[in-house]
Order: sequence, then structure tokens, then C-alpha cells
Amino acid sequence: MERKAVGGITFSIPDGQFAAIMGPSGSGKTTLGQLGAGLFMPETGHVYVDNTPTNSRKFRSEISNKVAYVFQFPEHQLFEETVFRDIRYGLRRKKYSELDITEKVKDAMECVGLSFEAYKDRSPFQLSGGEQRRVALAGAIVLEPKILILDEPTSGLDPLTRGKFLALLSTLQRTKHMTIVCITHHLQDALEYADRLVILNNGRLVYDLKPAEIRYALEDPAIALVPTPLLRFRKELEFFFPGKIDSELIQENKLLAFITDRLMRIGDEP
Amino acid sequence: MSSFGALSTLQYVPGDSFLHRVDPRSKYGFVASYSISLVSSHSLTASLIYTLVALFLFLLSKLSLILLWENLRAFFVVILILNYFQVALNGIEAAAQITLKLISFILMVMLLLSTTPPEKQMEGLRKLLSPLRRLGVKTESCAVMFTIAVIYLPLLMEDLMRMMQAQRIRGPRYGRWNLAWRGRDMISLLTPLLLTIFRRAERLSDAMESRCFLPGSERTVFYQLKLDRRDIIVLILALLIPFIQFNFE
Amino acid sequence: MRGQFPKYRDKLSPRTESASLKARVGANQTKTLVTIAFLGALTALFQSAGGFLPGPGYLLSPLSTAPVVLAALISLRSGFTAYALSIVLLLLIQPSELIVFPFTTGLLGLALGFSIARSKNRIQIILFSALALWAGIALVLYAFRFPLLGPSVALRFDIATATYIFLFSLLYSAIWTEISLRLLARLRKSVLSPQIRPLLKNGEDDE
Repeated sequence: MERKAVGGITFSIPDGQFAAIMGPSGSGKTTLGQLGAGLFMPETGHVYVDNTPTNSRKFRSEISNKVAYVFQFPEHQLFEETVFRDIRYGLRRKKYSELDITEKVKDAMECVGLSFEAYKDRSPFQLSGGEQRRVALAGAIVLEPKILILDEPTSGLDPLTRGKFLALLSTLQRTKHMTIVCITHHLQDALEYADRLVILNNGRLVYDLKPAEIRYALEDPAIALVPTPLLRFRKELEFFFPGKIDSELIQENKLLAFITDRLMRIGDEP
Repeated sequence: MSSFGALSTLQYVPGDSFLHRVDPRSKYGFVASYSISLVSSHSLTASLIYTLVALFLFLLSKLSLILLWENLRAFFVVILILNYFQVALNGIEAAAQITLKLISFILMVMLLLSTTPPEKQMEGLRKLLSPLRRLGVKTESCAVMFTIAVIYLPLLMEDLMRMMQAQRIRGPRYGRWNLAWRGRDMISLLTPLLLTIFRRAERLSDAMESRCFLPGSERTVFYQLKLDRRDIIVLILALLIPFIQFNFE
Repeated sequence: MRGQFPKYRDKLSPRTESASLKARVGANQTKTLVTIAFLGALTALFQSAGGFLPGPGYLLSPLSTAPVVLAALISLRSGFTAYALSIVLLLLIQPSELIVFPFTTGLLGLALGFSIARSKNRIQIILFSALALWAGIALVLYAFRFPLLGPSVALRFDIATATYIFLFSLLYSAIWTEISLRLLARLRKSVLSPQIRPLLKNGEDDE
């Protein structure tokens, strides 16, 4: 029962970008992410990470150093006895001293918002979903990868935790200059945080846009993208004030700033 | 990664041949009678005839030859070794006979498994084993366990593959011959998998109980098995098979 | 690993490890049923992994002992059910493994589970399981005349070969005893703590 998951896709992600890979279920997003991480090899074509092909055995370890992959379900990734040992797992071959390792793990944990002392000895299987995801993320960033690929990192999280998680990814992108590839089907999150949206459908790449250009994809009936409340609101605004709403105003804070600004100006006008 | 569908782990191949439509119980009866006759026959001619019967049935089932090859491949080494020993000990005729027997047996079992979907097999087994209930064997529970196992097998496989991938990508493995670390790796693979199983088992059993499942109670079945004309033919043939070898002894 | 032996002998007492598992899973009949079904499926999966896993799947085959051990720890009957279930499943998936599993990995699992639940010290466990494994291998080699261990191993009873096989069984079951006990310890720490249920609902919400 073999089916082609993805085919005919050509694109590249430059350094430091936050890309969101979207599409309906079964469109091949996860497969694409796994191909990108070098988890398996394409039957035809090539995948390159920093200009090294992923199917070369020689550079296999180099590639694993540069790319980190976070799975959709944290329980697929966590397996050590304690949180500390789990995060440390990636470093075990690196020949760092004990002190260095502890420093790095501590760093990673602080980064994801888990207190080192409180969590380091707890079993990963006893944590809540959000905490498990953060441990998985810490385990990925402790390797200091250049590219971070996450598969549906926010599914199953409550809205507050989701916002925090994505803000964390954004921070990582800015401070550590990581390239972040997020597989998600959550349009709102993608518009808020991503620099670029790659939309798949049936294993093919159908749209490759900046968030501001989302309306092209929305108008396409083949893509199962539902306009978010924010987008619907924008549309209403455009209806009332045609031509005055800039297409770049796609993010919540920008839109709010714009509206507040206009309202203030209305207040000033006689 | 859903490249492994629910049925691809099993040998069942969907189809619409005569064999596919025969009731599983008749098939079991036929295979049983065939196997017994096969094992107890001692002449080369008889074995040849049995093999031809098997091949005929194979053609009847419209299954592809590749499937046959795949199945035989697993036993290839066995066949070779057996041949070697038999030729050395008993001569070529004995070797040929035993090879034919082995091949036809494998073929029959493969036919049985490939033409009967697991639900029907389960139901057939359940009906056949139901007399055992008087001996205290819980056939109902066994049937339920079997169904659950068959359904969850591909899911467990997916989980296993994800976990192996996750471990592989987070750090390279140690050399193969370093026994202590191999043991450690195995435990690290087993632990999360088993924990997932326990958790799933809890959830599933809660879900089943919330739908009024009681172990050991009478259950109704979706696939009703009925014997019809085809099955009678098959059963009669099953009874006739032993007579083939009486003819040639 | 050698150096840690004395430490572990005191820490991992076989009986206590299994008792908590039994309490947790064995209490509810439906849960036992489902757990055994899963364990049986996992056993069959591991044993037949060589057939359909890309890459070194055959390295996973020995792991099929582990779920059988766990099932046998719940109760010997459960162990046997899981064992039988795996056999039926293997018949459906990869019949060629039916020569190996019931007499080696599966049998070892049953023996290990049985002895861990009952014995107090490791030597008993190792000996019992080694005997069971040896008996299984011997059965296949001598009674069924099947070259289980490769074409070079004689199929006629021979004291020297039999001794080698016994030593091998001893080593193998010693390794598996260690693995099983450590696995149990880990599982005990992670699963059998009563905290797990409420924590599953923290921070998770349906969108």
C-alpha cells in the first residue's frame, strides 16, 4: 500500500528564517520535515543541508549536528530516566566535561523555561504535555543546531502555553540565529510568527508566500485554509475603508497599533 | 508515516476469487486434511499430486507470483539445508519428496492466509474453538484480544519507528559489539514503548468499559459466517484428499 | 557493568519489582485483557521486525522476550496467553519465525517472568531460564531436527555441542535477567507512580 507522500517539491530555506509548513492532513508535511532533517532519504532528487547532501554517509554526523528535529508527540522522543539525562543524551558523544555538560543542559532548560533544579531529576514520563514538549525542545537545542524542525509543536497545548512556546521559538530565532521550520496547521500562529508560509497539498507545493500574501491562498478553494478571526476582521475593515488597510498588517500587534493610531487621530480631528 | 496500512503487516491480499469467497472454517478443514495426508504420504507420486493440487488452488486464487516468491524466500534457506541433508542421507528421491511436501505445505498455508481477511479468520477460529468453552477456555476474551492485537499492530509499529528515528537523530549509536551499551540502547527503546502501551491500555480499557464491555460476556459479530454451496464442495474435497494417497501406496 | 553488581543485588529485589506491576495492571480484568493484547502484538512485532523494517530489523528480534516477561509477571496465565497470541499473530505475519519464537525467545520470556515473580535471588532466575532456553533449543535441534543455530551445528546429540549450547543459554539468560530487572526498575519508577493520571490533563486542552 505504497503511496507517494511528497513529490515534485523544490525550494530552499535561507538561514535565520522562520518558515511554516502548512497544509491539510495527509498533505505530506511531516514527510517533508523528516526529509529535511535527514531522517529518511528521498527516492528521487536530493536534499541538501548547508550544501551537503543528506544521503552522504561521510557527513552524516555533521548534518545531525546542524539539524534538530522535534517530533509531534513528545513521548516518541523522551526515554531517559530523568529530565537531565534525557536532555543530555545528544551530547554524550561529544566529549565535553561533566561541568560543561551541566552548563549546557542548564542553559537549554532555562531557555525553554524549565527551572533546572526543579526538573532535572524528575522522570520525563510524569510531566504534563506542555512540560514534555519543552523538555523535548531543550533536548534539541542543547546541541546548538543551526536548523530546528518542529512537527506540530503546539498541538494539544492550551492557548497560553501555545503562545509562550511560539514566542520562545521566535526568541531563539532572533537571539541564536536559528532557522526554524515549523510544521503546523494552525494558520493564526503561522501568520503571527512566521516569515514565510509554505503550503502543501497532496504532496505538492502549492503556495510559497509571505504572510502578507495569504489572501491568494485563501481564495483558492482547493486549499483547506479557513480565515482566522483576525483575517475576517481585516476583511471587514477593508470593506469599510477600502484601500487604507495595508496588506502588511497581518499580525495582531501591528493591526492593533494601526487601529489605535487611527482612533487617536480621529480623536484629534475636529 | 502511514505507508504501512492496517493490513499490510498481514499476509492477506484482498481479491475476489473462488478461494476468497469460501468460508474460513471450510478452508481450515481442507488445510487440516491436506496437511495430515501430506505429512503421512510416503510416495513421490503422491507428493507430486499434492503439489499439483496446491498449485491448482494457487491459480484459482488469482494471487500474484511475486507473493509466492516472497513467502518461499523466507524458507529458502531451510529448503536448501533440508535438501543437503536428505541427499546425503537418503538419496535424491527422498530429497525431492520432502522438498515437494514442504513447498506445497507452505503454499497451502499461504493460500489460507492470503485469501481470508483477519476478521473472518478470527470469527472462524472463534466458532471452531467454541466447543472449548466447556473446558473453561475463554474463547470470547481470546477473540477480543486477537482483534485488538491485530488492529494495534501497525500503530505500535509506527510508534516503534518514530522512537527509533528519534534516538537515531539525537545521537549516533555506539559500535555494535559494545554489549553494555547495546543493552542500554535496547532498554531505552523498550521503556518508552512499554510505557506508551500501558498508558494506551488504560485508556482503551476505560473506553471499552464505558461502552459496557464486560469480559467473558456474549458478543455479537459484524461478519456473519455462513456455509454455502462452495463450502460444501470444499469440505467434500477435503474428505476425498486422503484417498489420493491410498491409491498410490 | 561488572562493578555495579554488588550495588544492584541489594537494590533490585525481583519480587518487589513485579508485585507493583501486578497490582496495577492485574486489578482490572479489562485492563489486563487489553494489556496482554498489546504485549502480544508487541512481541510479534519485534520478532518479525526483520521482515519488514528497513535496515537492521533482525536486530530487534531478540527484544521479543521483553514483552513476554512482562506479561508473565502479571500472572503466569497472562504470560502464556500473550505467548500463544504472539504465536498466532506470527502465523499471520511471518510464519518463518514460528520455528524460532516459541522455543527460544518466547520460551525464555516465559521462564524469566515466571522465575522473577517467584525467586528471591538472581542465580535461581538465571539457572531456571537457562534450562528452559536450553530445553527449547534442544527440542528444535534434536527432536525436530531443524538446524536452528546454523548448518554447522550437529543435529545428533553430542555431549560437547550440548554443553556449548548450555553455556550459551546461561550467558544469554544472564544478560536477559539483567535487562529485565533494570527495565522493571525503570518502568516502576515511571509508570507505577500514582501521579501519572492527573498530570496527563495538565496544560493540555482541546482547541
